[in-house]
Amino acid sequence: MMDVVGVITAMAVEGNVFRSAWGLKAMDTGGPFRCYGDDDRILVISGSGKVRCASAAAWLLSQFPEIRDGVLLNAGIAGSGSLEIGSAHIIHQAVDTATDRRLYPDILFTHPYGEATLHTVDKPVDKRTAGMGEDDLIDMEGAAFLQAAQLWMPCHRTHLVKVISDNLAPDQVDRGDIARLMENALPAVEHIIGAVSCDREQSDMDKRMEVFTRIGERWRLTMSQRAQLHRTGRAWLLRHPDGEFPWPGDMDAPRDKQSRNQALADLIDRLWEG
Amino acid sequence: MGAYSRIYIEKDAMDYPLAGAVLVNLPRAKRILIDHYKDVFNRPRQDFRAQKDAQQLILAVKRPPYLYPLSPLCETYGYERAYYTTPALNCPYDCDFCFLQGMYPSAHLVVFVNEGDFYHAVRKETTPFFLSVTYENDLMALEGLVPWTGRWLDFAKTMPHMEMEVRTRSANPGALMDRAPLPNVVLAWSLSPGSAASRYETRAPAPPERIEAARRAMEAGWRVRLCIEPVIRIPEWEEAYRGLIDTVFDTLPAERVDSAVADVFRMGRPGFDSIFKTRDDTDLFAFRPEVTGDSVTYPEHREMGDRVREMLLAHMPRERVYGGIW
Repeated sequence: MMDVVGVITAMAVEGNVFRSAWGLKAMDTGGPFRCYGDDDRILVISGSGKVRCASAAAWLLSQFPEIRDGVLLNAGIAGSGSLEIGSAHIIHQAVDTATDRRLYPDILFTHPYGEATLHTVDKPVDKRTAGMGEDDLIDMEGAAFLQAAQLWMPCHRTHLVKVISDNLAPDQVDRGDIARLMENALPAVEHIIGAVSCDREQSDMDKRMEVFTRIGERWRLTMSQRAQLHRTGRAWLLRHPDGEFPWPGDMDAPRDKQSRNQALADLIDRLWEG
Repeated sequence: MGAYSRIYIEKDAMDYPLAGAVLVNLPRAKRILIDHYKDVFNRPRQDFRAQKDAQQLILAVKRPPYLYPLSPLCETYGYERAYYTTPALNCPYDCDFCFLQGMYPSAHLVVFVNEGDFYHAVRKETTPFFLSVTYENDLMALEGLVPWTGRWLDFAKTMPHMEMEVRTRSANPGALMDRAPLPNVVLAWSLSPGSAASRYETRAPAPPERIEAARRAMEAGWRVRLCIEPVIRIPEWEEAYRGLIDTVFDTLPAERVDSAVADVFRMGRPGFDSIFKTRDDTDLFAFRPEVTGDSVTYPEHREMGDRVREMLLAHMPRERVYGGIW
């Protein structure tokens, strides 16, 4: 089972590296964003700025909810007062400069890349402002991306990779250079995808629990009875990690309220005793 | 997976000596300055299990209160006034039964560095009282990283009317070795049968190592308490706990053990329900629950607790065996 990965870039020229490295094809989603993908990777071009990026994250996670168990990244270029142009950095703190709100991806893996704080601004800047450190990065999307993505996803599955494009001279960034600079983001993005595993165990448990869902439907249990059966069934499965609970074929399917209550009580006793 | 490879540091915490002592121990860790530890510790949608595999460190300044009254469900060893304090939140071990996983949104380790504020608050207590400094952490296990245990021991010297408990699963009582034993400090080792420890206390030292650490502390003159809790309903639990207790008293002379306490596994209902729903990797919570007050426990909890305490009473007088107050 593969992780489903979403990548959002502001500009198409930032996303080209992923499109070409992963062989992604244009997708006709009917949505407001350009989108490229295959079975397990989806690239969205959001457009520049906080609103576009947050909207793209929300749209992507609504259209492809399986990404919520995978990884979602924002990759792109950023400015910095001092860091080397072309260097790739994983972001450990993103600050929305308009509100001073700070957001933190949960980096639970080691990596060989730089790490930095990112300040997300509303319009391009050519100098540091209060609160920005010399080694901090500046972009126009990152904090908004995290704020939106973390509404749906655990914070260890949402990450930012930024490549330094300029030393606070955004006007001098040549669009032709961006594709080349973004080549340096690809290894960091691949590293994160490899390091953040998917929730396989949860999926396995969901599958094993299906027998109790079927019993609930077949026996026409009430919602509270189904909840009771699910809780007890889950306990049985946890005590039998390698076992499947067999369909209770020896028990008659109940036909009325009284026989339903009795059948459920008998089944629950059987589950606790097993 | 890179434990403590990243240190989040509150700006206000930077200048405290204890912060410096921690940072010296982790020179290669990435440092991230933050405004308030809760910005990281309380952020939404954290994955406690994933974090346990790569625990990170947060250095912070504790704001009041510094002392909390112990719950009436906790053993207070005869003291009418009993408190706990929280010099650190969370623990490097990963015990399945730990109540902290149902209480905190994060598994990352918070270390509070403003030790003077803690001592100032405790000094206000002028009549005899009991203080647990390890209610929400295992300070002794962290001693190589944060020298909190040694500092609390130094402080305890100045508070003879305070009985301080340092509870641990650590096998490394290094903080004790250069210090003279203190009559008002009890070192309490949590012990479980090997079969329970290997299944539910996967990162903690094996019980024989803990017993050996307790023996060394006792030999150095420290008061040692045995904590047989939580008692867990493992297969053949009675034989397993009898075996543990026999082993303990083969190593530790019963007459020199300060005290012992035994209590059965229980957990607050909201925490229990939340962990049961989210953890697929343990069967610890997969029993038919009995609700007593606000807690969930085994239906046979009374019998189990009584039996284990009887095992202790075979070695120690009743006035030194505690537990079973709930």
